[in-house]
Parts: sequence; C-alpha cells; structure tokens
Amino acid sequence: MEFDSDADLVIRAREGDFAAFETLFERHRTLVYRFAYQMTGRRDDAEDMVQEAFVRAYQNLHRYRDEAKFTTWLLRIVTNLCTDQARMSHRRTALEQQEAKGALDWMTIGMNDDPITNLEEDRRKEALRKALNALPPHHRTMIVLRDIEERDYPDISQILGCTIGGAKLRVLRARRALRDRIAPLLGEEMG
Amino acid sequence: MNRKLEDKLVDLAFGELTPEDAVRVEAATARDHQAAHLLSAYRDLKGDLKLLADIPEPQISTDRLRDAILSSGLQQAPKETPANSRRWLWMPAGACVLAFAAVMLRGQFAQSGEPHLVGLDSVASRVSLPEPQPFSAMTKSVDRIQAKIVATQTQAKQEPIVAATTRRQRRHHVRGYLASRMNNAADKSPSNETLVIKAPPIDGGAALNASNEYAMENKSDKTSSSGPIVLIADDKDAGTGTQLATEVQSASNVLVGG
Repeated sequence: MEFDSDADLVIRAREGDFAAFETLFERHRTLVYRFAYQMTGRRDDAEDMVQEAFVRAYQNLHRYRDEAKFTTWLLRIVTNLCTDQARMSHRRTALEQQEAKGALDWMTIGMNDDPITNLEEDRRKEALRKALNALPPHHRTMIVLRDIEERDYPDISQILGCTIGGAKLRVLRARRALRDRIAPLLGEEMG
Repeated sequence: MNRKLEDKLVDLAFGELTPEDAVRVEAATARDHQAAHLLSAYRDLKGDLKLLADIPEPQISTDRLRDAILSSGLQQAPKETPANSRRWLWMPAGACVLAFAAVMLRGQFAQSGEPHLVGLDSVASRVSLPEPQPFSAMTKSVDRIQAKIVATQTQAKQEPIVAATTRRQRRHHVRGYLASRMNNAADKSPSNETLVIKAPPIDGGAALNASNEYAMENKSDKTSSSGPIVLIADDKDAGTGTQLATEVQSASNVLVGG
C-alpha cells in the first residue's frame, strides 16, 4: 500500500478529494486530541476542539505552505483555538478541576496494588492537574508541548511563530510558574 | 539563590544542559543545600508531568468530522490557483488606472474647453508671424513711412488673428503685426497695399486739421472703400503707457492733408 505524504494528501484535498482529507484526519487526530485534552482537561471539550481544528484546517488548506510540517501547522491551529477557548471560559476552571479529579480515578485503579502509593500518585497528579489548569494559557501551552507531548524546540518555535531561543525562554518561565503553583499544593517549601 | 543558578537547575532537571554544563552545575549544587532541594523538586515535576501523558481515547469519528464540515457550508476546499491568489490585486490596480486616466483626461478637458491665457510663444506658433526685423531695418522702414498710422486692408490672404487677453499681449500683438506689415511693405509687392495715416493728438474733440499736420501715402485708392482702419495716436494711455489706438470702419470721414 502506497503511503502518501501529508503534502500529497493536502494537494489532493485542495482539489476536492475529501477522502484525502479524511486520511489526514485519521492520521493526526490523536495528536490534536492529546494536546486539546491537556489544555482543556475534559474529553468532551477536547473532542470539540479536535473537530473545530480540522474544520478550520479544511477551510484554510489553501494557506498551508510546504515549508512547515502539516502537524506543526495543525498544532498552531489548535493552540490558537485553545487560547481563545481558555480566554472565554476561565470561569469553568473549578468545574474542570473537578472533572480532572474524576478522570484520574480510572487511571489509578488497578495500576498499583499498593494503596498508599496509589494515593500518593493520585495526590500528586491531582495537584499537578490543578496547577496546570490554573496556569495562564501561554504557560500551559509550553508545558504541554515540551514536557507532556515532548515536541522539540524547532517544532515549538514554528508552532508559536517565535525563535528557538524564544521558545526555550518561554518553556523555562512556564516551568518556574508551574513549580510555584504546585509547591503549595504538595506542601513543599518554595525554593 | 540567584536567578541564573535557578535557571541552570531547571535545565539540568529537564535534561537540557550540555554534558559539560551539567557536570559544573551538579558540582555547584552539591555544595548548596537549597540548590540541591530545588533541583530535586524540579526532577519530581518532570516525572509527574509524564504521568499526565496517559489520557482517555477520543471517540470522534470521520462521519462526525464530515458532518461538521458540511454544516459549515463547505463542500470542498478552495482550489489554489495563481489567478485566485492574485485576483484581489486587480481591484486596486484597476482603481489606480482609472484614477490616472481621470487625471490625464481632466488635464486635456481643461485645455480644450476653458478659456485660458495665450502666451506670446503660443500666439507666434499659431500665427506664424515672420521673425521681427532687426532694429536697423525697422528704422529704415520708418524713414520711408512718414505717418505712424497703419490702415488695415483686406487682403486675399488674411493672416489669422488670435485674440490677446491682456494689455501687454495686445501691445505685443500690435507691434508684431506692425512689423509684419512693414516687412510686407518693404517687399513692394503690387498686391500689398498699405495706408499709413497719422492721427492727430487727442485734445478733447478738436476737429481734424487738414492743413499741415497730416500726410498720406496712398498707393491706391482702394482705401476709400477698404475695410476698417486703425488710428494710432501719439498720445499714450495713462493707464498702460501704450499708444492709443482707435478703429474706424472706413476712411471716408478721415481728413488728411498734405
């Protein structure tokens, strides 16, 4: 089976081949969903974000340039969507934290027989999820892209439209901000 | 703890230092308890963040995506063609062309429709007047012609006359015309007929004294029945400084004397 590159699929999709665009969707929807879930903390919101991101991608296929990877371009779209959504729904933070607490339950059940360890991991994850959701969108984006999704700095700089040095600096500031937020939740002394 | 060291600790915890820098920072941390504690906290944070990587699987399908795209009113992606991408350029380009044409045509309309001052150069080019004679030649002509008044006479070939709109232009026009007429007179063409009549000074209606003040060279008797005659007086107009000139329809009522 011949493997079509993302660029080839984009060209075919521009010419009206919707099946080519569906292939792009199947290929990259998990990537977009993962990022959207980390940014929103809720599955339903993340799925809506994925749908909206691909609709926008389809509307703007003519603007895609081959210089950047298709995934980079796609993540830029979803980053902007998440930023807009976070700006409009900052009042839902408390609700999202509750949802995140519920979502963590199925993750920890059965993973470790030691209840104390599970409790400790749950506590840390819960604290981390709270701290992450409490971060401003621009800091949260850097943590998700670099430390959770493990994207490299050139990729991040293209997604955000900044220099590599600028991306490194943003990541550094985001990590410090996250550390400042999680320390009180864990009862740790500030450095 | 200074900010620079803390930044180095963060990079060290997340594995973003070069091996040489990592060794140097580790050595500095070993001597600083606070730095060591901070390094440990950041390393724990890195580990915890990896735990967040496990998330529930999405349930979005391609059918849902297709429905979403169609509900947005999109049937297919717009085609990328050079014409489409540059189509928007035609509008401002067309506007510039129209504006340029309007400016150019406006200038032409202004030239053709509205009255405007005719400069001396343009008059000369249209009228095709001969080159004015040098002063020495003009003085010789004046010696031959004792009177100062030139009577216009219809000729077979009328020279086009362009209306001058200022007094200075009228003065120049008359002088130029006089020069051309004197030049024609010097040619002694039998067909050239001129009548020079010196007008008396204007002194409030004194009748013309036909006894001794006027001389006329009449080379033909056509003047009595000729066209309009221009009388140029010695007196000058107080307002402009030019010689007064009056036009009479015929010479029948002009008394001349020897």
